[in-house]
Amino acid sequence: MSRGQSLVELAACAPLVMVLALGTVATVEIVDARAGLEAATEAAAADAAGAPDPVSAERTAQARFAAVIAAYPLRSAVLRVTFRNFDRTGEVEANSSGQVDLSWSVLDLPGAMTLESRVAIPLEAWRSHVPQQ
Amino acid sequence: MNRRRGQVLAFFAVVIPIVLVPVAAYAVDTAVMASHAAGLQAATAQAAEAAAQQLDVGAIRSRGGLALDAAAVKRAAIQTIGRDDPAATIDSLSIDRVQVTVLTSERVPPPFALLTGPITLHAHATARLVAGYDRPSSLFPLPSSTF
Repeated sequence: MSRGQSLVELAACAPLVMVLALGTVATVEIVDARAGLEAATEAAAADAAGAPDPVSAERTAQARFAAVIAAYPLRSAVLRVTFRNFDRTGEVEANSSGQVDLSWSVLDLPGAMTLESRVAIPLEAWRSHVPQQ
Repeated sequence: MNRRRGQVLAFFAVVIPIVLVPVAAYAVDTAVMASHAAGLQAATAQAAEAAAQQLDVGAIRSRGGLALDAAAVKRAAIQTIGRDDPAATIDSLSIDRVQVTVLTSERVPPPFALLTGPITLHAHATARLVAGYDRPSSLFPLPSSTF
């Protein structure tokens, strides 16, 4: 009667354990990716805020964003940088988005989750600046 | 033999709530707390940088040396922390000539909180006002061609 009983019981419990383990890993990955996206967006905005002109601000922000985001589990990460008055009273706004790949989890989760981040900071008043002619 | 029936089920019935669920909750709590700590550190660094830019223009004109405007430093730090991490509080803000040190803390409840209650995170950052620039400053009254 008890032949194979343990195997059946293990088979009954294994999915629960797997869901618990995979769910934990997926949650931690999402939290990690969200923190990374916010850190990269903040770093990009901070670099853009100290740039002398809008063109170099965009270039610097994109480079910093790419460098920071590379360490996090995100794909198709995109950064959009906009400025409101590029002068001492101005503000830089960085909007970013990226996807966390969850297709490995085999759970009933979407294949990828899209995360978004937004940072708006004032331009540095004392930054170096090339006056426009 | 009948006594061995259900042993695996009983094992998991004990192990899952006592070991696996707390470990999973701890893993998620740790990740969330690390994320909050990183956010607090970033906000603190941003506040210190913003505070260290509050140049006392009157001191430059009267004495010729770099100095920070204490009131503006405090205002900038509070404003930056309030904007970047509204739940954080500034525990201490010290100005040493041209250097600003900001200490902040934030009380964060872990999402599951199975093993511990709310945790107080701490962060500190120091920023220093230095003279010099790569290119002529926008605040300098002469055109760049002068240099």
